[in-house]
Amino acid sequence: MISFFYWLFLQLIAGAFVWFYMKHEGKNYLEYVVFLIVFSQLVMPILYAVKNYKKRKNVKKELDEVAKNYLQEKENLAALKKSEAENLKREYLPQVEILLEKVMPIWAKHIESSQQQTENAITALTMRFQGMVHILDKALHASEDAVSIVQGRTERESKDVYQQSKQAFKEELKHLKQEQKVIKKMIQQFRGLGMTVAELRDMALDIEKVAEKTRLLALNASIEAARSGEAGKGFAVVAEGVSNLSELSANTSKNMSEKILAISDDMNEALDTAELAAKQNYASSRSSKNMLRENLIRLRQMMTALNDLESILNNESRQIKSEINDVIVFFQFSDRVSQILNHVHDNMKEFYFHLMRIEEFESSKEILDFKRWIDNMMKTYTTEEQRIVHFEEDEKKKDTKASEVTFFD
Amino acid sequence: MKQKILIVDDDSTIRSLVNITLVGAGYDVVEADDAFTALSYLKKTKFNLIIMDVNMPNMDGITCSAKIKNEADYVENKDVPIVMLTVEGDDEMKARGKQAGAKAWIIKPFMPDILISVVQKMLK
Repeated sequence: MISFFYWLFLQLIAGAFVWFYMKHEGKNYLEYVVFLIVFSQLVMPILYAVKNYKKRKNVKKELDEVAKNYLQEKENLAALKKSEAENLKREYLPQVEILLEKVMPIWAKHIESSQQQTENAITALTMRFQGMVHILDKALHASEDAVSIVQGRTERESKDVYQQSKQAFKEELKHLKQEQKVIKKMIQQFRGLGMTVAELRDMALDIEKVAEKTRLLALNASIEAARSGEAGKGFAVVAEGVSNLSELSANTSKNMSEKILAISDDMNEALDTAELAAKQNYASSRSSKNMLRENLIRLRQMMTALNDLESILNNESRQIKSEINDVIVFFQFSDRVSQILNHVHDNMKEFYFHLMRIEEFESSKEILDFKRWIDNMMKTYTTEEQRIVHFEEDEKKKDTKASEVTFFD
Repeated sequence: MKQKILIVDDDSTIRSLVNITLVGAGYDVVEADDAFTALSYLKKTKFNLIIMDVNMPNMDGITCSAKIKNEADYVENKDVPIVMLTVEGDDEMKARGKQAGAKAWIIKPFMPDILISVVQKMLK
């Protein structure tokens, strides 16, 4: 800006000088303008260049001086930095070593703990899956066995049961028909017996009549004997009549004996028939009972097989549910391991930044306070495992809080 | 109609396991992988229960719970019970959770039966 005003000032001076010179020489305005342009474009830049050359020379001299001072300062600073770095190394690096000695084993243990948790969880998961496969296999076999039992019995044995039941009913019907025949025969026999008894009754009446006539004849004979002692001929007639009556009585008695024998035979036969019917009835009912019992035993076996299957399936289902619950718990290891490893990662990153700051002569005192650094690291712990590992507590305490629930009122 | 539960956890395994457990128990489950996603859901949808992790990137579960309880954007879900599901078992953290409006605190790993019983109790 100064150079521009200087140039303008020179332009004005030169213009005034040329104007006086041209007026003195008696030149016209056109010659004045041409001369002024030539003068300003040729002479003025020369004058300006001369002026700038001097100024540049001064500026260069000043810059050389500044550069010289800068280099001197830089050398001084480098020397100071080197000295301070040496002091830092000598003074602080042992502290860093102490920090590393404290921190590195904790990081290693955290990583080891994560690795251990991962291995344990994977092993447990593998075992649970094997257990589940085994249980499912068992359940499948039990189911297949039971189904084959039930199906076999329902398809084969239930046919048998049906056929046998049908046969049993046929047999029973046959027995019933036989029994009916026997009973019919018994009825007929008893009817015959009734007729025989009626005949016996008639015969008894005949005997009674004969007895009456015999009594009257005997009475007449006694009357006649009393009336005429010499009538021997009359006694002969009476005797003949009594003889005829005796013959009639003998025949009747014979007939009666025969009829009684017939009755006895009929009755014996009826008794035999009744006994046979009773025996057949007994055999039939025993056979039906046995068949029914066998069928009931088979049905009970089928029911038992079904109940056993239900029991096995229920038991296996409970076991599988329990195994799945365990699997869900073990799968959650990933969250805990992830959090532990994230913290180790963050701590290492933080430590790296501290080391970087040491190199830049910053925060050197901060990193030297390794107790505070470890305390801060500890504050970021979220899992029980991290605290246990850090304080080297009893590992058995590890899962005591798992699934613990707190309700806030 | 099934009751709707929002599970907020940055760990996909945990979200899946909670989902399996609660869907099996007859609930409708929606998953959010961080607090901001959860808040965007809570602006639009009414839930019956929220299950929230504590340690999450960008915004922790306690801050998210406090926002749900206090900010007008989530007024529809202001009274929805919040259950914290976390590896944290520290009493101080629990106190912070309670102050933020949580109703229950479950320490991971959770057992499915216990989670279901807590959910049932909260939804009574």
